[in-house]
Amino acid sequence: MANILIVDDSGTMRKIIMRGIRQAGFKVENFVEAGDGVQGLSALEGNSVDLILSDVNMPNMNGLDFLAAVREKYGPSTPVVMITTEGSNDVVNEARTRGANGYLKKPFTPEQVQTVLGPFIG
Amino acid sequence: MSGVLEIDLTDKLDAMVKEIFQTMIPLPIESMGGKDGVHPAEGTEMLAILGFTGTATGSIAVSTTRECAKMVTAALLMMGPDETIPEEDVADALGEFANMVGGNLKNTAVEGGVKMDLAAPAIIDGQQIHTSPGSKIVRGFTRDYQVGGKPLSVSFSVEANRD
Repeated sequence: MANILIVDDSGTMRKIIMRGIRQAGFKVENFVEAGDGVQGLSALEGNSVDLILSDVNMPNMNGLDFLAAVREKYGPSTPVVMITTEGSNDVVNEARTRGANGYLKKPFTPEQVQTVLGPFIG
Repeated sequence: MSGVLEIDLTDKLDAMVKEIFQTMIPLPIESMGGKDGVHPAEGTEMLAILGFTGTATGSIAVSTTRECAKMVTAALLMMGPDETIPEEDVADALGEFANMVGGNLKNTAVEGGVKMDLAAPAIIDGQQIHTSPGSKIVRGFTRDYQVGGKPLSVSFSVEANRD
């Protein structure tokens, strides 16, 4: 049973991601939600998570800066998967450089959720 | 000349909208064709606008009726027929749909060598919304759809360079 942090400024998208994960058949103990990178870092202070899912475009602290902050503070142990419409090579490469473990492009199917997240919470 | 002006996004926009529906919004969608200029859907009550800057400045707008926006929200959230749709989710879902359209258009633009930075979507919720395209718009087109029999339109517009 996994604990998953979802960082996205859209509450609707956080709900879609949670339903998508359940629909993909993953067993989740707890979802922790955050509306931007700043809230995401705060959430990590009080929660031990097995996987972080993050949007890229967010106010206050975007997903790439959040990713860099997570890697600086917590190292490479917690997998981070970026979930975003930003699928251009530049953004994907930047995310990989900053330590992202995977990339899920919106729109996504439950099968794609299963394929991308399976190695981390399967 | 802006690079965005030289990329034919009309057919790509149509394909993207249909892909988003086929992938995440299980509702029947029918393309009703397109037209030049920015025109909101008939009876528009909700409008999601996503501005962009970069090589060119412009916006992507999704317009529809509140009833259609609720249908899209329920489908996006995979809600059952007995579930109540929270009002705040309707605006957020329409914005997220606009975000997916914009993000995928950006990917196409970037592949064409165009720099494009997207803003967060702004939502206008009202009755009988009319839009007036600014005089700076040098290119605009609209694609019309019927979603479960309800009107939904997606418009794309580019403004003249400020410099």
